[in-house]
Amino acid sequence: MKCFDWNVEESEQLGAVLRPVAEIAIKDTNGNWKYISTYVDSGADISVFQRSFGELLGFDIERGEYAKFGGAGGGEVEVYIHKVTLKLGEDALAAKVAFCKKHESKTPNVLGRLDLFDKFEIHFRNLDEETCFILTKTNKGALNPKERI
Amino acid sequence: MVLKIKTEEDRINEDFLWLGRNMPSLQKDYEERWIAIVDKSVVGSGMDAKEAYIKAKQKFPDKEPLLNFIPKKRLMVL
Repeated sequence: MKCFDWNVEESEQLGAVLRPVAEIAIKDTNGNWKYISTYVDSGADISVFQRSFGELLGFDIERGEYAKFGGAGGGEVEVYIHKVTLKLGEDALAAKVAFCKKHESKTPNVLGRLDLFDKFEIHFRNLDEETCFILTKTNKGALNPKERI
Repeated sequence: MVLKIKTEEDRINEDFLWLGRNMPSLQKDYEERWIAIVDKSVVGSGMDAKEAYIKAKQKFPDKEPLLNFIPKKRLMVL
């Protein structure tokens, strides 16, 4: 089990707000881990990152699968979906994630449901201000044991 | 006495905790920017992830930074 404390962040309208976050790593094209803090978003169908993070990982962004996402605000975000190796705590797994098409897109980096919420039980423990990830017993979709860190 | 050697994972976990505890002040200084953290301080920043990462690696070539994008201080509905 891996737990992450929630962030206290400032918003202009409500003042201090608590937000669930997680520290993950994604393997770059040279096989090295790059670490990033992300928001945990149970409402997001897929994890989304800004384009520049994908470029830092060495991905040719446009070679991914093109898709458009609708957000809560009604706008659309164009992305390219890539399969990556993602590490959360001591567990590594294959996951499809999306990188924004536009360089100028300032969308927050979020951890969404695809390939993650079916492998981890995720507890949003709001009273303790933490999010805990527990690898499920079925281990559905996780990489073979050699890939476990 | 057992001495525990701090691994890179331990350090990055500590940097993640530091980031969470210092978000309000980081929001003031780095709104809509990427930051790179090593040993509980911001060692690189920029308009994109690459810029922040490269600046961090120039200062700490042997350490992996923790990256974070600091969004605008507005309500977030994702």
